[in-house]
Amino acid sequence: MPAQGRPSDDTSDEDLMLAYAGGSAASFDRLYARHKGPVYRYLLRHCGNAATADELVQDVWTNVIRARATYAPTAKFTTWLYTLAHHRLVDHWRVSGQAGFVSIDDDDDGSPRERVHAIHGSRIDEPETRVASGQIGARLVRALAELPAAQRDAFLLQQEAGLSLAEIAKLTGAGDETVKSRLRYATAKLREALEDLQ
Amino acid sequence: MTVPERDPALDAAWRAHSTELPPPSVDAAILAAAHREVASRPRAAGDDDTLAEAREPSRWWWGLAAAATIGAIAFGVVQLAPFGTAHDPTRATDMPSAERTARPADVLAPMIAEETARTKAQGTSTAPAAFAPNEPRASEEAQAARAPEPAPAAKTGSAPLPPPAGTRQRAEAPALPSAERDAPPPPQTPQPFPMAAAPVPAAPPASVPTVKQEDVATAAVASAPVAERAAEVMAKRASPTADSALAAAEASAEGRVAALRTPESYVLRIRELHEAGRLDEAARELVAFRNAYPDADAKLPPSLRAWAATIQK
Repeated sequence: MPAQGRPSDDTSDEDLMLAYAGGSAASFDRLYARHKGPVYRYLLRHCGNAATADELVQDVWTNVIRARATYAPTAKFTTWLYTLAHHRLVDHWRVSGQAGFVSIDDDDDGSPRERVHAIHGSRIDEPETRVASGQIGARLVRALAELPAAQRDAFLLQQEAGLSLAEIAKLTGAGDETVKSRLRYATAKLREALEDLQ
Repeated sequence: MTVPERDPALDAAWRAHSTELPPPSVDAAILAAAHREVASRPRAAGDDDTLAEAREPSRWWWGLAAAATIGAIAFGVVQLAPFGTAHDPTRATDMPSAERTARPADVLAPMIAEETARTKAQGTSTAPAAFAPNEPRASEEAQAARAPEPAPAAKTGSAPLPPPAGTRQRAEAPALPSAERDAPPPPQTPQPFPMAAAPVPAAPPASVPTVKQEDVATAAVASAPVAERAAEVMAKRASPTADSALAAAEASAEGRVAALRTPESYVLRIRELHEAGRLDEAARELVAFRNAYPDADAKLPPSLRAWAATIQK
């Protein structure tokens, strides 16, 4: 589950969304308070630009608001929410001409491709990437930026969204084993970035 | 499916250093959009209290707004409605207007003037000043007179509408005796004041053919004792013969003139005649005064009472 933004009440996300679909604005307030940080960080880590992240996060929540009338709790709300975010990110990359998840997917051998770094290599020098305090935060952000987008996406969906392996697989349309491999490689890479500090 | 092994140290480090949040402006924009979306659509049952309270103020003034709107419409309708119908001379109504009934002196003034002119024509010596239409005393006397029913539509200076033909016929038809019903109607004198033709409850008996409606109306103005006397005169007119009717008519004219005179006018006239040495005329005036007012001697001044005692009653 997301580490931050969770209210103390135990009302489920699905119930809050249904209540909002029924006209309860307060339910949306609670829902937004729970997920605004993780969704924002998910988008920010991917695009590496705060202004773009602001735009994308507004689009994602606007889609949530518009889809409230047709929302049906057939799946976990978090899965549905990050599916919207994932699709919005793909659209963003497609419009901007970046490869995104398309061509950098599945490096089963665990070695990140060079173009990953070409796409996101300069992000660590941008101000928004220096938000993380201390060396650990900086190294983590830099290491995450060097990961292939698919591995980074799997890692962020696990850490920020709190999704399970199966939920990540369903969301990304990849196989379970593929997702498991991505998570394994991502974790190993990030651990390496922190070895000399531990 | 087995969960990939997770590094607790890595998870803790990530959570500790990944704390960014969207800027407040983004939060406000998203929440505002969400609230707008909810507010613009009908609510389902079980709304939250915040929204219910937000809608509450608009409910109570809706009633006031509706009442104000209805009031404004009603006021507009009243303003657009026809106004001043009481002053419209072309509008016929059965209800006497307040203006007409509030000025009996004006109504009686033409009657008095007519009676004065008729008296002069008959050679009766009366005091014209006492019957001036605008003389206050005459007006007060006219108001004091018990008129059973105010005459309609006789304002000075206005063009009165002619009375309906049926009204005059109804007033005169019962007065025709059975023997003369087939005879041609007697010529009627022109009536300058149509209001005089109005029917009066104190109508004469039905068998008198020569009684004019204006006479009846004039007699209605008289005071109570004079009215009784006029009734006696009218009773005399009930004779079927034409001579007695003519005599009754003459007596009625005198009685009406006497009835319209005030005691003060009698006293003033008697005093003038007495001081002028015209004692015969003064005596006739005293007799007329006594006929009109049984207590005429008591109304005389002390200077005339000794002389009046010598006049035979």
